[in-house]
Amino acid sequence: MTSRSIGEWAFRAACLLVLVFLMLPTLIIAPMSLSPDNYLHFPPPGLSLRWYRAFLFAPDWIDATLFSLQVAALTMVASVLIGTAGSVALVRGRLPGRQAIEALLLAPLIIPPIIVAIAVYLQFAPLGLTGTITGFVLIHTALAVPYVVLVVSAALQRLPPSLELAGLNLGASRLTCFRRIVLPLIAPAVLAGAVFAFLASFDETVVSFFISGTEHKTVTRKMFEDIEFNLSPVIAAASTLFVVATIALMVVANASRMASKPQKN
Amino acid sequence: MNRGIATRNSGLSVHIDGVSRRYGRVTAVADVSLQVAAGEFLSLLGPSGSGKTTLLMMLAGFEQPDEGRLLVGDRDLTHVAPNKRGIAMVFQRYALFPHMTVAENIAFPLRTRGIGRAERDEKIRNALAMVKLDEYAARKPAELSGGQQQRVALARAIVFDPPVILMDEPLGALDKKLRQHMQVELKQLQRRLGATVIYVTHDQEEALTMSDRVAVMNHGRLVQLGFPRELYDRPADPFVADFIGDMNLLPGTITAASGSACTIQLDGGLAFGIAPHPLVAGAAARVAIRPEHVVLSPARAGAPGLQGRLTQTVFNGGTTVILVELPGGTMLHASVGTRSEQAALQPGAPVVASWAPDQAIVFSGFAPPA
Ligand SMILES: Nc1ncnc2c1ncn2[C@@H]1O[C@H](COP(=O)(O)OP(=O)(O)O)[C@@H](O)[C@H]1O
Ligand SMILES: [Mg+2]
Repeated sequence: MTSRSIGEWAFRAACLLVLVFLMLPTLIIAPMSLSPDNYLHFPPPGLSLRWYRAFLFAPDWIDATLFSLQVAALTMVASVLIGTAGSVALVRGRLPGRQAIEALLLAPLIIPPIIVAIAVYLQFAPLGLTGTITGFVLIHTALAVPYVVLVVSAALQRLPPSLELAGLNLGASRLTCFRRIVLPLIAPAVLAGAVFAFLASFDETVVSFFISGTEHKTVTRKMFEDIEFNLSPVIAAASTLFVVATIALMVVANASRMASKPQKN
Repeated sequence: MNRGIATRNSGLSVHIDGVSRRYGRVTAVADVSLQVAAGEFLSLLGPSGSGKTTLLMMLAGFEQPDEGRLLVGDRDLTHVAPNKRGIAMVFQRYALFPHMTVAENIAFPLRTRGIGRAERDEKIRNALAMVKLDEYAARKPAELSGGQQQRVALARAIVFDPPVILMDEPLGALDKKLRQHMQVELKQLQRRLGATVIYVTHDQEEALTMSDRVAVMNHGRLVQLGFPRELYDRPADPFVADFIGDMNLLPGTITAASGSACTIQLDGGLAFGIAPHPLVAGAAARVAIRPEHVVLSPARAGAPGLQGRLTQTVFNGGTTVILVELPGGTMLHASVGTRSEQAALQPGAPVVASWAPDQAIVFSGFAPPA
């Protein structure tokens, strides 16, 4: 019994260490953002909100943030529509080559971002899509759809097909069945997928780095530039704000996914 | 005032005409033809995998037959979309919409038909009263017991006055007591509604007690269609004989056959006369005899019948089953009243088994492996 509990404690300690290792860089950013100094220091020599003010009142930071939010919102809408429709087709349809389509849909999760970025840049540049909101939304949607497909098709798989058959049998069209039976039951998963898609876009760095223009750049690209030229604590301030917002969104997404799980066994 | 369910139009006939359905190499339904009369309660009975569900799915429009036609009344439904067929289906696992209340579930088919609020509410009330769930309109399905969920599924199926109701093992998930209770209620409800019901079950007792007629299926084929009594007394083949009720099936060979008398020799060596039969001498055959038709008596010299040895008695409540070993090892089951003299026979006792000749049915050949 004691040996087992020692093993258990060792295991827990190991887990905790890994967790700390993963979290530390993120956690260290927060105190660093409060530095009154011109450079990134840890620990900070004092406390001030100077860099938060610098971030929130600088037009170039505001523009980049608003642009990223806009791209993320449009990406979210597009990938939820495509991802949900795709999930229905994959889970419920009788598609020939279903597995190939599924693999293709999920490919962006596996392909290294830098490969995608270079390919997209080479395609977008001659078309004049680099530095445009259309270009960003197009490629971010392609990258975000897999997240929506993963969550939504899992929810669809849990839904007994007999519910839709019952709906049809009772006189509803396929569309009505989807709207009145399927959608309400998978809504939490769709919401979770929406949050993932939003974050996937907002957080996307590599492709954004390549296709940003001088006028339209994402906040991730802006941060890169800033690191290269200034390395001021404004980056830490921006990061801290985004981390807090992301955590809040993830809590929503998770609560939503939990609600979609069947309550009884 | 009391319109709706009480004064509904009655059921429509169903005509299944040469219907087949194959899945790759498996023939799920093989050339089934069947006429169901308006207002009839017909069961599709067969072991698991015999094609009952597939046939029902084709009637509901969820599966398309490879061959044949399906008609309800005069209307050919073969190529009609499932949501345009107007016939109801009760699913094995009820398929209630979990996010809707009982009332909303029952309202669903009324809404899709564009029935107005006032009429809808009245129909829901009537349907709930029919299944004795008046108090439960505002509950969610998850807050109901299995039996209550079953009733809601039933109410949802009857609320739009369908002329035909399909049911796929609707009582399969209930425990035995509740199932028997629901069998009676379901049957009463069907009589009151006058709807045609096609009822799928693998439980022969259920089929016999509830149905006007029973269609027995095996390997996708319709093997016999008849009244319950007919299936029990005159099974068309050894499969039906064995599947419906208990049956002794004794393998043997016809040894003598003439116009007026036949003799069969069981594999164990026993020979006895049977009613005239078209089989020729030398043909393989099986004798089918119901356990309740077997008469047992203590062995006496010269007593007519099959000599055997009692091996076991099994108490079943009102009846007792007696197992008799015939020479050659064939086991014969006899069912006798628990209070009868025969039930008091002890294991090991030599006995004589006999039956009235017209109660033995003779089948040619051997049953194909199940
Ligand atoms: N969608 C399907 N795909 C492949 N085979 C099927 C399908 N549905 C049924 N079958 C096969 O058809 C046969 C009949 O099945 P089913 O109609 O479900 O029988 P039952 O309801 O009598 O148990 C079985 O052998 C089954 O495996
Ligand atoms: Mg079945």
